[in-house]
Amino acid sequence: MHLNAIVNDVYNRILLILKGGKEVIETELVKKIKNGDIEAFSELVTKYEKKAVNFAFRILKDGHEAEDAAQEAFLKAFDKINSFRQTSSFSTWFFTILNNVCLDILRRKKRLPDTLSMNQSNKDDEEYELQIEDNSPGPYESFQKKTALELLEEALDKISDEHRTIIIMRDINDMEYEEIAKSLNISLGTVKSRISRARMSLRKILEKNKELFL
Amino acid sequence: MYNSDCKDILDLIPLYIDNKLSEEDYLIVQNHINSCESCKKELEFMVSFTQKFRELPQIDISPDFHENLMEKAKKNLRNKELKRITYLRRGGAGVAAAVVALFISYSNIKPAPPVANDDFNDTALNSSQADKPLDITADKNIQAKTSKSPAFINEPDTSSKETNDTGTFPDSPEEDVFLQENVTVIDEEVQFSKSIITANDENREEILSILSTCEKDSTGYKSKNPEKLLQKLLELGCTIETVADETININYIILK
Repeated sequence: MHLNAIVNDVYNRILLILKGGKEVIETELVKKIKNGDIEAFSELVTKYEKKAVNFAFRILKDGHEAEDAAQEAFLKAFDKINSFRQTSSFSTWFFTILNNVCLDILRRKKRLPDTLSMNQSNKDDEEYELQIEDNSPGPYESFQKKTALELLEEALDKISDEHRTIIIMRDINDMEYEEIAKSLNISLGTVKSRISRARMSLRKILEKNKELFL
Repeated sequence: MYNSDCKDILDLIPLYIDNKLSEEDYLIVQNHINSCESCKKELEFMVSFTQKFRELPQIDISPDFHENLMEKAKKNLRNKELKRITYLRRGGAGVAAAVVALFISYSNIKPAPPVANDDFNDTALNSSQADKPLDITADKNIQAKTSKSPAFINEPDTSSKETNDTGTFPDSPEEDVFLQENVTVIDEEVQFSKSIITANDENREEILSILSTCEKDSTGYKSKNPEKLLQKLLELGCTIETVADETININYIILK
């Protein structure tokens, strides 16, 4: 009965070892950047640029804006590299910056008021949410048979900004819960409750097309 | 068919997928799905769409993305070096040797290394700022500058710093660290981050009036709805720039 748990555990340990190796290389690159090595910065950009642009794209839903956001975040990271104390991984730090850049863009476009005022968390990290997510059918749903991926993309657009961000971080960017907590500056408990709620929201939206996923 | 336990199990499935339940809850879920076909299907459904996110198409980045970015990075470095040289010049006699050394190193174009007395380098992003009592109130002498350059600083004690004639700190070469006006800090309860607000002559009174409705303690003003407040400040003509370091997210509000 514990076999699944054991397999999961071994898998996670292997991942950690692999990630550890990756982090040693990154640490060296960051050191070089701090010493003024712009080639090292270029190397780090190459490593993260596609992920960064796609992360921003999922939040901003516009390719040009996503590239602008990613560039802005990279430049900020380069500018402030000496303040990066490496108590977290570079990617956690960088995606924090990128997430904040995206938030700024959304604020400038005044999209945030749609979702902001209703999402709160109190000091016990209990989250309460008054936001009503859009579960209504899209314009073509009754007329067109969609693929599972198209439905998934639509569902991602329908959930709240907060839930979308956390799903992007976890299920697309494959970030660990602890990394997400650091990146979003929230507790681990809040990460867990948000992921849970986000997945339940997605389930509700996708339920009527369940057969496409089974 | 679902039974009364199924609702509880369903609530646990999202975290079961990632093995983030306690050992006890993990076993409860596992035992249940071994005997409940409906919940087993729910699990498969959720695993399926969760994993399917990885298959979402990725957009291609522009072919010149990297090159553009590197050009901007190099340009920023050059600008930083130029400013550093400018401030050293303004420091007066005795820094000629340093200026010469910088001109020599200029061609190497490095990011500005932390200078021994460069408080700002850590000031703006150092989480210890969060612990320092920030006692900036409306009573503080406000130096209204005519310069339009964006400005903020979250260093509360400026008495030891001398501004030169442009209102900049000699050891703060970056444009966005100039202290210009009154500075107020809002501690955002929701995300435990900080916002730095800079007021100009036009909106200062209004901003202070808005802040006077907020609760205040030794770390600054607290807002129960910081995003709403930030939106209001946006409408008054501020722009928001969010900057993060490893330990705390800091929102900077910089005037247009």
